[in-house]
Amino acid sequence: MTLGSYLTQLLKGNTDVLILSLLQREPMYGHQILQQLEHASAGFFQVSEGTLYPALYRLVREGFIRSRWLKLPAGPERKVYSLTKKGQDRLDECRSTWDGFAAAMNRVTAAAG
Amino acid sequence: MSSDVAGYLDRLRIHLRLGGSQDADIMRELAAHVEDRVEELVQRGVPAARAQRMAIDGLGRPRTLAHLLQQAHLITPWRDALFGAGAFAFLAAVVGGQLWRAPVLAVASAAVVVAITLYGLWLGRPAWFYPWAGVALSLPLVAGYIAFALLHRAAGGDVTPIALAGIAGAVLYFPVGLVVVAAAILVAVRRDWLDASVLLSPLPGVLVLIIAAHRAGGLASGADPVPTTSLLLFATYACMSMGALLFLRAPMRHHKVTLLVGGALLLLGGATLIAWPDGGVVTLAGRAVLLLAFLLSPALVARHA
Repeated sequence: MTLGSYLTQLLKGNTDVLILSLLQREPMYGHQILQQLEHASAGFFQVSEGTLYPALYRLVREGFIRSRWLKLPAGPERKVYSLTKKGQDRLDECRSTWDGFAAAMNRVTAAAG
Repeated sequence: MSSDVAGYLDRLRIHLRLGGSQDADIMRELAAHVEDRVEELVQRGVPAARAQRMAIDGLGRPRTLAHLLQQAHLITPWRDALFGAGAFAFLAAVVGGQLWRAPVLAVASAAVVVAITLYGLWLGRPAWFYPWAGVALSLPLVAGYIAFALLHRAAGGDVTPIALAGIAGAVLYFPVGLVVVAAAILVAVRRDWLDASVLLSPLPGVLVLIIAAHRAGGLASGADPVPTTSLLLFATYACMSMGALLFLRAPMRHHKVTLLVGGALLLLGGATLIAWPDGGVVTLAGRAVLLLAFLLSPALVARHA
């Protein structure tokens, strides 16, 4: 596996958590999520629209987030996504799992190094 | 909205076909997204025309995006769902009408199935592809039986060129057949194990037909062509056609799993009660376990893939 595909797989497996984490901060619309993701990761995470929107629709369908059209202060209407209680619970579970996973990875890679 | 954006969204709409209000909602959101993206790029100093091109390119090919959005919604458009369900209806007609006993009709039916399956592959495996691919997968099963029947004839001293072809086919059958089925399942599982289960679903019925035909003296025996089994399988595949329509249109994943498991159990129970009413509960339970293990095996593959 190349480093590029390794990173792609990591990102693919964690897109939902990244979206839920951003929406925990505040409700956002699609383009805003992409911008925030890039900004918060200092350009490390660059998710395509073809990944973002299907993930958003899936998360809505599964009840982790909800969406509604809102008029922004600047004028135009945008479909804004926000976290639900179920989404918050899922995010807490994912974070806990991630902490355990990262700690174990660090232990193993540090020992190997 | 520029003509480039409108053109892209039109092409996306052609492939999407989720339903009026959903399509309109997605188009509205993506148009807003392109607008935001163009504004962002222009602010960064990119010329407007190039910014628009980049924003559209960022969405990817309309067909690919439509496919990803359909998967996210899980709902298959009516036209695609009907076409997918048509695979089982076609199989019901072939089995019920015993078209498989006439070589020309059998070959023509197989050619139709293979052509539709290849077309589905070319389109990038839309939801309707899997029922047709499942029917196509049953062809090696039938071909294998024919090869073994010819081999059997050769073993009886009737060594003809056709019998020699049967020997060659029989030798190749197991490795090639296994590789084809395993590869198809692995490819389908990568996307969704439920697709792989749909792929497997026509096979048990075809196996029942082959066993019945064999017990009746083989394909070329000229004996009574298993009318009870054919009728039963016709009814089974007709029900599966309805089941596939509901499955493809089901909005939630657990609905699909329920339809798959519930439908298989209902059909097996019904068919057993009609054909073998004295079979006993233990036999029925054993068959049910085997059938479910077979249909749900892709879930196990997906867990370990």
